Amino acid sequence: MKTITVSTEIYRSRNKGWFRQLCFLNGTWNVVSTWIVLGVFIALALAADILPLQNPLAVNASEILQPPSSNHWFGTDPWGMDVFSRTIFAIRVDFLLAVSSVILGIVAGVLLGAVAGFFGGFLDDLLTRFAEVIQGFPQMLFGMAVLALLGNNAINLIFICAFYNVPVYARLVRSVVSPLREADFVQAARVSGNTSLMIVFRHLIPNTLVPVFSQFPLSCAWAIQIVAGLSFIGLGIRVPTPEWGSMINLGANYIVFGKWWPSVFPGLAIVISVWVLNNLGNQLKSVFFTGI
Amino acid sequence: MTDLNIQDLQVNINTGQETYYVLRGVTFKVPAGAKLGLVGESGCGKSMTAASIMRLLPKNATIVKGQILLDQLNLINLSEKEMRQIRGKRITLIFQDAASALNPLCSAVQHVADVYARHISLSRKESLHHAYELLAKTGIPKHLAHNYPHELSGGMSQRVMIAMALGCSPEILIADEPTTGLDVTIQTQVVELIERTVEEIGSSLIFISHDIGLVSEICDRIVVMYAGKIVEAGNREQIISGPGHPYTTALLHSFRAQPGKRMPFIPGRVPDLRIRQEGCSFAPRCSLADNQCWHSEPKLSEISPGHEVACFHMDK
Amino acid sequence: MTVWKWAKFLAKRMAQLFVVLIGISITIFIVTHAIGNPVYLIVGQSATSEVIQERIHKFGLDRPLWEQYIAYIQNLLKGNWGVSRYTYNPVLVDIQNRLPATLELSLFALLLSLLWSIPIGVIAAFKKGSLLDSLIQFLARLANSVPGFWLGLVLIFAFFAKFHLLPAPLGRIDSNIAMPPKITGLITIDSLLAKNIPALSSSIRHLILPAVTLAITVSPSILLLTRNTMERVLESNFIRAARAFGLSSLTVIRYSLKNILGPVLTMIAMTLGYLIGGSVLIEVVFAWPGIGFYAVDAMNHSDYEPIVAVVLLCALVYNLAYLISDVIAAMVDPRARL
Repeated sequence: MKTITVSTEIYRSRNKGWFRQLCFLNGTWNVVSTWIVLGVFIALALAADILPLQNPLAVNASEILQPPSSNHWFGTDPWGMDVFSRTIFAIRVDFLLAVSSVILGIVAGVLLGAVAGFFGGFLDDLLTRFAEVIQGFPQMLFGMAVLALLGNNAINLIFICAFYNVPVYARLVRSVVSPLREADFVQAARVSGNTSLMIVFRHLIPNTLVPVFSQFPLSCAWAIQIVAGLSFIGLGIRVPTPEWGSMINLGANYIVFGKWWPSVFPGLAIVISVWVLNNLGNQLKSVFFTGI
Repeated sequence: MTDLNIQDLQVNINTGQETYYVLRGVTFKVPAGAKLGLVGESGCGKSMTAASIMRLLPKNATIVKGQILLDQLNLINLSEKEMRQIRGKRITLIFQDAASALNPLCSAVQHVADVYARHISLSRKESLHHAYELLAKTGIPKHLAHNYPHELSGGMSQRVMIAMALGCSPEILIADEPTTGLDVTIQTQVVELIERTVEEIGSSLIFISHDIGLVSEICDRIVVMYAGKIVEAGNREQIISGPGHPYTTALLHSFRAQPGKRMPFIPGRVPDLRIRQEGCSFAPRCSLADNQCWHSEPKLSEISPGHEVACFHMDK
Repeated sequence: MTVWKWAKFLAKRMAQLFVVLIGISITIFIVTHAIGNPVYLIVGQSATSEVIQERIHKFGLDRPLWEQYIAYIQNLLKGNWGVSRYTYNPVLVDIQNRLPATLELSLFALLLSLLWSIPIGVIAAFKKGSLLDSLIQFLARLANSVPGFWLGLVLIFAFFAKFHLLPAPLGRIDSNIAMPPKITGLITIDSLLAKNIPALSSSIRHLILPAVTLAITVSPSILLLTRNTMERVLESNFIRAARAFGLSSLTVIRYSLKNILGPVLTMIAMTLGYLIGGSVLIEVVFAWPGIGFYAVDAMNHSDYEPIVAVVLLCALVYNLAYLISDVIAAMVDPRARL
């Protein structure tokens, strides 16, 4: 009959692909530009070795503080190193540090949050206080203190960033798991003989993967800023390893003399990376929390 | 005493991608002092009609055609400023979910006082005094008057809204599903309260509901809506004992479940408002539908004084 | 709300604060002891073994951990937060001297950001969906991605190096101008009180860039919060009901502002708490002599007591701000008093 066939057509078009859904909720230009830029960054990071870039670690005393030219697209820094290639190579360093520390934080946070959310009561309160303690520390200062006291190396840097992510994901997971404690499928699992731990792992944690996944880019964006900030002070990554924060530090003293390029370009790279990752996180959130 | 006359009201909602034809030519009259019931399933346009009368439609809705005449005044042509003089003062709307319609940061008495002070300019102190009285009339004692909305039950929140409406003394009171979501016992109390209020103020009542049984207890005139159109309008006796439209008949059946027998229901689904199809909108679900029904749209025609039906097969 | 209800509410929050403070002190204690013996905090890396042994005994670092913790807490409460090997002052004295600088910077940054964030946020909400709204949101998100220390450098480049509009980032006031008598410690306020115009002008010119930089970094959160809360309020059923009952648009605006007050005030309290510790990188870039700069400077001279003390102080301030923001929320919104 006429009306029924027309209705089915509309029903089918309502189930757009996930990409269309993304564009509809966030604006096509927004989505496309974010993904393209992110793709470019990842491609550059992966292909950095084979691209025709100057050596990012080549100190060259005769070419210090050269302004941008056809030879050095972003100019050279106070040690004579090429800023452009260092900016590209630094993508690896910053992104790797950020991603690894966030993943570490997610693993710990999800476990703690799931346990606290599921068992509730005292454990739950304990987790909330624990999260409040960690989130009450001045992030930059405490990070500096930890690196200064426990050793100024990349491992500690990753640990402190992971440490800061733990309460974020613990709270997120707890807020997902807690209301599901009395859910029917949990009761069913219990009745069919699952132990509490099995219930947590097999049934509850998979429900948290979507919110965690959409928070992930946002945490990476934050981590890049922390890593850059700490390296700017001289903690964390040190010269000559290319990293945006330490690059900015290298150029900082010369900016008052008008030599802007060693600091400005790495900073722009940070702005773009953080912007893109934040956008990605918001897009994922918009899709996952309205349901595809 | 004022008449409300709605003529061929057409409203569209534009979501940027699609257009929903929510009201497709609504025409009915609310004579002065009448109690009119507007009945239909969810999505048929009852709340949209109320919102249109109050000119409180969402931003993406447009009144494409039609007139809403309050005596001789066409509400469609009024500016927002002029509309504000009408709202609350001459026409008042009581919302469905009363608890969410109250400001969580204001206590019950503050709500009533604010509305009272707006329409009858008094000092803060005097309006408060009147507010307590109004709340007491609707059954909220003084010691509860200072409660915040989250400290009030659904029924009490609805009483607060009715007190606010009382304070306005409007010429027309529109109650948009005021009892949905409330316990049956509370429902009866709220409905009685509305009846009393309307009689005390002397206003007309438009009672919107999906429950034709409830509507038939209060209202002397009943209007049935389906898919954005009026399909039947008549007095209570006419509608209840001799419905002309198959939809009305089906509605009445659904509310009269016989003990022991299977509960009657209307097969099919509410039509998609994005499509303007040929013929009668009820045809897909109508047992009497024939070729004529699929191709031409029945208009409202009077089958007896005061009783209008939009169907080719009326009173079968 | 009755006095009794308030007392219960406050008692509950204080108890929570207490637990968190214990947690903070334990965490700091663990960090300072994690490398084994924190004696190096006190004597430095290159002391002889006899001095080390003597110091270990003197500071009770050879006693069991829990005893050390008790002694540590007692010291904190007595006001003994360590001595700086770099300035030879007790750390608390150093902090006292430098706190006004941080306060001045934080307060002005907060004021500046409120000045533009809240009105723009409200406007964006009223004009929801318009081009203006999209532009405002875009700029806010962009500002969120900019690292504060880099922005400071860029502004220094633009306003000092290139266009010579503002002075060099070398402290709070030109070195050739006498400081006004200290009343509040905030040079701008003190100059105003002493009617010392040259000092006022100089201190403001030194304060602008770091305050603006800091303000830009915290504005996005305030702006987006204001806008989103206002948006939710404007679309809520009770605003619709207020309009349905014919309340004037002035009343509707009053209602909506009242309803965003709670979250916005909370955000302001938290931002101030954050700024005290979060301004450290800006202080370093502008050589602004606050507690952040003090901590970093000391750390660069292998002096670690100051940074530990500053971390503790900032954590305390932040949690206190959190408590105050809860109290504010409860005063404004009756639903938060549970």
